[in-house]
Amino acid sequence: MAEVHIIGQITEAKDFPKENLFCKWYLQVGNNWKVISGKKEGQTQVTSPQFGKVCKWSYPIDIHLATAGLQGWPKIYLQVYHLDWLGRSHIFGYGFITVPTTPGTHILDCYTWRPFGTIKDRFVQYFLGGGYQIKNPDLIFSSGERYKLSTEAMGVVSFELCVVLRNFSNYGVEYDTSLENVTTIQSSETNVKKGTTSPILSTTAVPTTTCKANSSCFANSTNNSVTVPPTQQTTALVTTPIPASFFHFDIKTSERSSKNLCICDLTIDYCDLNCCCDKDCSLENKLVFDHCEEDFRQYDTRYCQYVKHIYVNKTPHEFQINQNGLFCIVRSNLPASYIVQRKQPLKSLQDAQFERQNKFNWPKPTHEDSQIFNYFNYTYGKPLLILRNNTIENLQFLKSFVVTSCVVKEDIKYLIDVKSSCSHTNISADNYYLKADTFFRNMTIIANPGLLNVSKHKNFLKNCTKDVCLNVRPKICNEDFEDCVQISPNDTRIKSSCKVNIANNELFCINLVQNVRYNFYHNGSSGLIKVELYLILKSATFYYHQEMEFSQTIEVNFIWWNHTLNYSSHLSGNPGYLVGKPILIANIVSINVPINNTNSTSNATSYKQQLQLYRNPSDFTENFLVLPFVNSEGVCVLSKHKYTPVEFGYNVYLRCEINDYLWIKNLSAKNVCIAVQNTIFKYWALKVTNGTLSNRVIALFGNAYIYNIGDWLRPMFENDLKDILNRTWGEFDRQNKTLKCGNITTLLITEIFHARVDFDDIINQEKILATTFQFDNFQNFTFALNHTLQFYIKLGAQVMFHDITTKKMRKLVDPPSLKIRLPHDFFYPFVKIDNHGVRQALFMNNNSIDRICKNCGDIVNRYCCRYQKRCCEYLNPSGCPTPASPEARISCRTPQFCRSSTDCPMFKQCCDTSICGATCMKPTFSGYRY
Amino acid sequence: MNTSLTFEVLLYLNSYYFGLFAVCEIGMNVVKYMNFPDLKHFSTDFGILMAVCVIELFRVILARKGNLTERKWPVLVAIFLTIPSLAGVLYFMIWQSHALRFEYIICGIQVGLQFVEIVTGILCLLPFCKTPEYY
Repeated sequence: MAEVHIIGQITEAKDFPKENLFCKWYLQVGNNWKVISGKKEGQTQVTSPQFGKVCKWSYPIDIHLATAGLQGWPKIYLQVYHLDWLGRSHIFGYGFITVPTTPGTHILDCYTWRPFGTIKDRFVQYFLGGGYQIKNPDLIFSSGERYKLSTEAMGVVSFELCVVLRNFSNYGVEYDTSLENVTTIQSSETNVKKGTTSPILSTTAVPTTTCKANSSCFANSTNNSVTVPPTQQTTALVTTPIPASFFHFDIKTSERSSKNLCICDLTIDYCDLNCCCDKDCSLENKLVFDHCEEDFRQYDTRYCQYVKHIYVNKTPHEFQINQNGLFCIVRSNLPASYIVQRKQPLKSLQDAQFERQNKFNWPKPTHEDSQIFNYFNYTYGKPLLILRNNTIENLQFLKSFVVTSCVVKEDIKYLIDVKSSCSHTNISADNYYLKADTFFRNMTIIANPGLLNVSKHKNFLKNCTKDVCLNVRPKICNEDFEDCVQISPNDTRIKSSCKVNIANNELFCINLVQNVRYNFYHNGSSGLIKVELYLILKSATFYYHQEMEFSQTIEVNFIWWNHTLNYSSHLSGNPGYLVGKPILIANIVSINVPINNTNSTSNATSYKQQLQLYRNPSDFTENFLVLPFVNSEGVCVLSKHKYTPVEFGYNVYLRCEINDYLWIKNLSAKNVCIAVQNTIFKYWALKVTNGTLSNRVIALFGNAYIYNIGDWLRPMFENDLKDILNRTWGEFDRQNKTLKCGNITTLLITEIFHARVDFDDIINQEKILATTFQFDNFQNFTFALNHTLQFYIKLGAQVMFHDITTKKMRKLVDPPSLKIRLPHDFFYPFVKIDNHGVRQALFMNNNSIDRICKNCGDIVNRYCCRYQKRCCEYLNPSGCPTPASPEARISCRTPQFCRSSTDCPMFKQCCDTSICGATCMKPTFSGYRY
Repeated sequence: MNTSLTFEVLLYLNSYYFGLFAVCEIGMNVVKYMNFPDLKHFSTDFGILMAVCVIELFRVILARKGNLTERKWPVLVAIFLTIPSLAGVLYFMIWQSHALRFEYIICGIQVGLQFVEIVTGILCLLPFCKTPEYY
C-alpha cells in the first residue's frame, strides 16, 4: 500500500480579532485510507501572546497513513476558539486545508471563517459573547446548500507540514522527483502568491529633450514649459502681444537650489563689493575687499547638525554646526514631503481684492457734506449743529494739545460735558476767539436736526423757527459766575478792544473772554430746549517784552430739562467709594420732633429733641469733603462755587495763602487771635459752632443714606478744636501797633483709612473706616494793627488715604446652637444666686465695651484698646488682646511714655525724650495735586 | 427584552465612562486644590473620590462577571455596591465644597447610568433565579 507521512506542526494563528486562542483539529481521510499510527485529532493549548497579536501554538502533528487509492486525500479541518477572561470559550473560526500531494516541506495558510448572524445577533455576540456555531462539523466541507451559510473572515492559521510519500510509483502514481526538497509556499486561497516578483515597468513619461545638430532644442515634455527660442535667431526684435499663457511658468523653473545662491550678488555681470560669493569677482578683485558681507541665509537651527556657509579670510567655508542642546533634532524620519506655500501669482483683480481684506488700508476720504445733511435726531456723541450766516456748522471749541496754547479745534458733542482751558498767544481785538460776539452773535443752535424740515421749505435755514433754532442769551458774570447780568445780543458794551501804549511798551485790552460756559438744557432724544451762555470778560495788560498769554476756559454742561441741581442726590459709588469720587459728608442737627401724646388732654404738643443728618442740596461744600481752591495767584478761595473736592484715593497736599481781614473793635488780643484761628478753620471747611467740633459726619460708603445714621461716621480729631482755640494767645504791642498771635495752627492733616470689604456678592467695595483730622505747624504771627486786622497766612492742607485692608478670612458659620432656658435654680435648687451675678451677665451681653474702656489700664471684659497698651506699656504690661472701637482709641491717644516712635499714636511723631513729640519723619506725598 | 444584554451594554459603557469620570474628577480636584484657597474639607472630598473610584471599579468588574457567567451573587453584590457609589457621586454634585459645572454634568451622567444599572441589574437577576436552560 502506498503510504503517506504527515509530519509537521500547527505553528501559529494570526490576524484574529482577539488573542487567547486555541484550536481543535481533525484529520479527515477517505474510506480507503487507514491511519497506521499517530493521532487523527487534537487540541492545542491556549496561547495569550504578551507581544504582538500572533498566537504561537507550535503543536506537533505526526501521522502515518496508508492508502489504497488517491480518493479522500487527507484534509485537516480545524476550529479555532477564543477563551475570554471569564473562562468561556467562543467559536472564532472554522477552516480546512488539504494536505499537499507533493512531498516536501510546505508552509500552509489556512484562512478561517465564522458564521455571520444578523445585526442583532452580532450585537449580542459583541457584548455577551457566544454566537452561531456549526452543529455538524461535516458542514465545513459538505457540498450541501452552502449559500445559506453567510460567513465572515477571521484569522489565519499557519501550518508547517512535511509530506513524505512512499510506494506511490508502485501504483502508477508518478511525481517529479526533481520537486523533492523544494520548499513551496502554497495557500488554500486561489490567489497564489509567487515567490518571484516581476519587475514593474515604469509607465511614467520621462521628459526627454532632443537636441539637433543646429543647436535647437525642443523639450519633449507634455507640460507647458517655456520653449526657449534659440538665441542666434533673435536678431530682429518683433514686438508681438505676448499671450497670457506665456507667464504660466513651470514651477520647476522658479525653484533654484539654495546652495548656489549668492544673496549679496545684486548686479549681474558685475563684481559686487564685499560680496565674496559673487562669481563675477575674480580672486584679485577679492583682495580689494575689506570684509565679506554677512550671509543672511536662514538655517533650520532645529537640527543638531547643519552646514553653515561662512567666509573666512574671504574664502568660502562650510562649517558643520554641532549643537549640544538637548532638544535639537538628531534625525528626522519624516516621509518625503513638499512645502505648500504661496508662490503662484494672483490671477485676477478679484483675487487681489479678496486678499486685501483685513489688511491695512489707507482710509478713504469722507465727504464732509454728507455729515451736515444728516438730519437725524441727536444721540450721545453726535456733534452739535449751529446755524451761522445761513450755513450749518458744527459748534467747536479750542483745545490745547501737548502745550497749553490753543491749537486744536474740537466739536462739542451732544451730552458730553466739556471743561477745557487753553491759552491764546495771539492777543488782539481781532482774535476771533477772544471776542464775546463769537459765542452768540449771528448764531442759533439747532435744537434737533430732525426738526429741520428740509423738503417742505426750500429756504428752511432762513425761516427757521425759534423752537428749532435756539437763540443764545448771553449773560455776563463776575469771576465766580455769580451776579450774572443778562445783556441784549446787540449790546456794544461788551465789545472788546485793545490799545497799544508804545511808551510803556504795553498792550491794554478790555473785554477779553476769559470764561465761557454753555448750559444746554436737553430733554434726551427730543434734543435741546434752552441754551444759556455765561461769559466772564476780563481786561488785561500785556507787555511786548514778555510772552503774551491769555488763558481761556470753556465749559459745556448738558443738563436735563426740569432738573434742579441737587448735590445730595449725587453718590460716590454704589455701594463702595469709587476712586476719584468726592467724599460724602453730612451735618448732625438736632431738631424738635413733636410727640403725639395721646394721654394728655391739653392742646400743647411736647417736643422731643432728636438728632438728624442734614445735607444742603444746593451747596457742594456741605455735601462733600472739600479743601480751599487755590487760584492762580496762590490765594485760598472757598465759596459755593470755588473749592477743591477731596477725591477718594488721591492724596492731596495743597498750600495757599489767605488774605482776609477782621474787625477788631472791642476785642481782647486773645479773642482776636481766636477769631484769626476761626477764620483759618473756615478756610479748611471746618465749621466751628459754639467753640466745639463741627457736627460733621463722613459717609462710610459712597451710597450712604441720609436717614440711616449707621451709614455715617464721626471723624476723629487729634485735639479738640476748643483746646486749639484755648491754646492761642495774643498780645497787643501798642508802640509798634502790632498784634502778636501765638500757637496758630496752619496745617490740616486729614487721614482717611479705608479698606475693601465684601458685601454679599459684590466684592472689594471701598469703605471708609476712620477719618482723622490733625492740626500741625503751630506758628506765631505778628500782624500790623489798624481799624481792621489785615492778615496774610500761608495755609497748608494735606489729605492722605491709607488702605488698611487686611487679608480676608472666611470663617465658617457656627453650627446652630439650641438655647434651652432653664430656671436658674434648676440644677441647684437650694443654692441661691445673688442678683449681682445676674446683672453682670446681662452687661456682658450688652456689648457696651467701648464706653467703659477709657482710662489707662482699664481692662473690661477682657478687652481694652490697643492704643492703651502702647501708652500704658510701663504701667500695665499685661496684654490687651483685642482692638476696641475708634472712640476708645481716641481717648487713649495721648501718649504718656514711649521707648520708640512706634509707641506713639501716629508714626510721624517721634519718641523724643520718652515723650511723643510733634514732628518726626516727614510723610511722603504721592498726591497729584499741588 | 434581553435584560442581560442591556445590563452588559450599560456596564460596558460604564466601564469606559468610569475611566473618564475618574480622570476628570481627580484632575478637577487637583485644580481646585491649587486654585481655590478656601476649600474647607478638601481631604474629605478627595477621600470620598478615592473611595468612589475603588467601589466603582469593583462594582463594574463584579457586575460584568456575574452577568456574563450568569451567577447571581456577584450581580447582587454589585447592585449593593451601587448604593455607596451613587451616594458618593451625589456628594460630588450636592455637598462638596465647590461643585464645578463640568462636575455637575459628568456626575449627572454617572448618576443616570448607575440608576439604570440598578434597575436592569435587578431585572436581570430575576430570570437567573429560575433553573437555567441547557441545550
